Amino acid sequence: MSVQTADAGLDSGLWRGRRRALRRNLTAFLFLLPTFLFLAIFMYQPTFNVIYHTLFRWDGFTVERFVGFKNYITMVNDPNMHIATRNLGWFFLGWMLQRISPFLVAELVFNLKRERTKYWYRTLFVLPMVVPFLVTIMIWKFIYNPLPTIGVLNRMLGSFGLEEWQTAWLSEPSLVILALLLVSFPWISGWPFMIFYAGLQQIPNEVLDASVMDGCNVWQRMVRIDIPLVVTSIQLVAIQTMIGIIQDFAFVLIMTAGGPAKASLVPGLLLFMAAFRGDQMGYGATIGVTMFIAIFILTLLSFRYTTSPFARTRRTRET
Amino acid sequence: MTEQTGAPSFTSSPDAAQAELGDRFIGSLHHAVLLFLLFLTFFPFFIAILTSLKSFQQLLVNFWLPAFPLQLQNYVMAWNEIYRSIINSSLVSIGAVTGVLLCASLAAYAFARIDFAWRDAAYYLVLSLLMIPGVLTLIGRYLLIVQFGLMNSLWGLILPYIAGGIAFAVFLLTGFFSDLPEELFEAARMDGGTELQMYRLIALPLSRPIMAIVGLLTFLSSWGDYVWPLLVLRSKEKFTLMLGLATFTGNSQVMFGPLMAGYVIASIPTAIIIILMMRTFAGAALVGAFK
Repeated sequence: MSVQTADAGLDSGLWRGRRRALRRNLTAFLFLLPTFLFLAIFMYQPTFNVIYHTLFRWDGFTVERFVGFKNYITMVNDPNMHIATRNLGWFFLGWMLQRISPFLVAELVFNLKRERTKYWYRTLFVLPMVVPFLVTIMIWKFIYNPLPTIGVLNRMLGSFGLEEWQTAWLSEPSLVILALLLVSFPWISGWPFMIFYAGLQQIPNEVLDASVMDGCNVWQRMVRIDIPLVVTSIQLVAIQTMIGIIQDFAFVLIMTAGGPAKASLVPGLLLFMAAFRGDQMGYGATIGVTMFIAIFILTLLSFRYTTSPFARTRRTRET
Repeated sequence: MTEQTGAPSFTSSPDAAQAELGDRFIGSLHHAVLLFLLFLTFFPFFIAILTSLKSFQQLLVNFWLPAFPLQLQNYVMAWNEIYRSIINSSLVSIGAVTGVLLCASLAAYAFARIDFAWRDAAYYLVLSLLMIPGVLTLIGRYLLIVQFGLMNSLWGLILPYIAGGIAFAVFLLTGFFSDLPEELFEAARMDGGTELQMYRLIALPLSRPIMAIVGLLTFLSSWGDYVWPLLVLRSKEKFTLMLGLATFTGNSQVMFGPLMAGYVIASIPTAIIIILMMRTFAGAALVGAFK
């Protein structure tokens, strides 16, 4: 190969390489186009629109008056917001316990001896997941029905001779949050149980065998081996629960609509009421942005103490 | 039984006999606790099914046990009330699943397999949306739907659902596509295959399980949504299933039988889909995707 032809080859190779890169970019652009169209229209635009309009007094369509940070100040001083935040705190605690507690049941099933029995318990425990969550909620509304002859819970109390305990569970300010937290008791069927069980299954058999050899009892094994080894699953469930709790209000909307008299109001519901039932879009947007900031901070905090899913994708993409 | 405890058993000694008795006791207690929890888990659904087969009179007289004759017309009544909304929900879910799978798999293919300029930046632009809670965009999306004239239209549900599902789908699919062996693509490239061909003929066929999971998640979230349809849909013949069930409740105080029948009917489509997925390939991977 002479020097001259090599030079020409290098030159055209460079040219070809550049053209290929251009083509690759174009192909990638076309592949990404539909996704980014959807995201631009229905995700980015609404997000920025909402953030921008927290600075306005705004009914969503016509009246628009710049008010600076007045919406935020209103929110901080809004007594409804105080009630909603306090209620959210209780829901937060309760739902965290609810979502983590299936770990104990997963341990109970995992410690059974026969594989077949384990399989059946596992399947049966997750089977109610086929019922849409909203349907479960509506069935629980029937359970809490205030009529002594119809409400399942009241009727049950009646048949035990505890008539004086019968009450309108969802209309009693002091009981309503507790009643809402008890929905779908004992809280087993769901993703957390599956995730925890899968986590337990991932523990290498040698480790379990070794623990038995060392005379470890079940309780010691759970605390010293199982929990440290499935801690990522527990954290994952905790983060998902956290994000879910702060923003999800459909549950409360259906069960009590925040009542009685704001006793079960949560910030998401307050946003909904302000924006869609009270024409205060700017104020609703302010609550939304505040919730977003809260979720963002909590998520960042939890990433600090966990293996970040972002780090994981990066690793898989590099390989 | 000794497998778990691992200790060699000396059944001859009285100590060991006592230990075995203890083991037996613990074992039955173990089962008793689990069975009790199972009972509690299923109790509301049992009651719902029982009630769905009773008239109001039967419910008052005989609450806890099945009452005869079974009131099968409750199901007919419920079906007439909600069949329209089941069709609507199916249309919405099918639209959302198709849209998410199509858009997200194309984008994920580009992220995982094409080396283009600004790739990381574009990827993080998508991933950052996972941080945006739906409640924040609720107001903005509502205004868009009003401006586009999509109020009271099923498209007003489908399009935002697609947008809402894409980010997580891209996240899952990109991970999966980048784990596919490079040799397959290298060979296709040698034979002059275009990226579109490789996407269609290599990446898609190999990723059926993960596509099934993404599809299932999109289906379940669109099927079970309540707040967004409540905002967008106005007329009863456009209602989705959850909305239909919620308004069904409001009709009458004594229609508990038909109401519960409606709940049972509403659970059948999701039950069929989830059980099919569990039985086929996706079950194991489904759990894997959440870890």
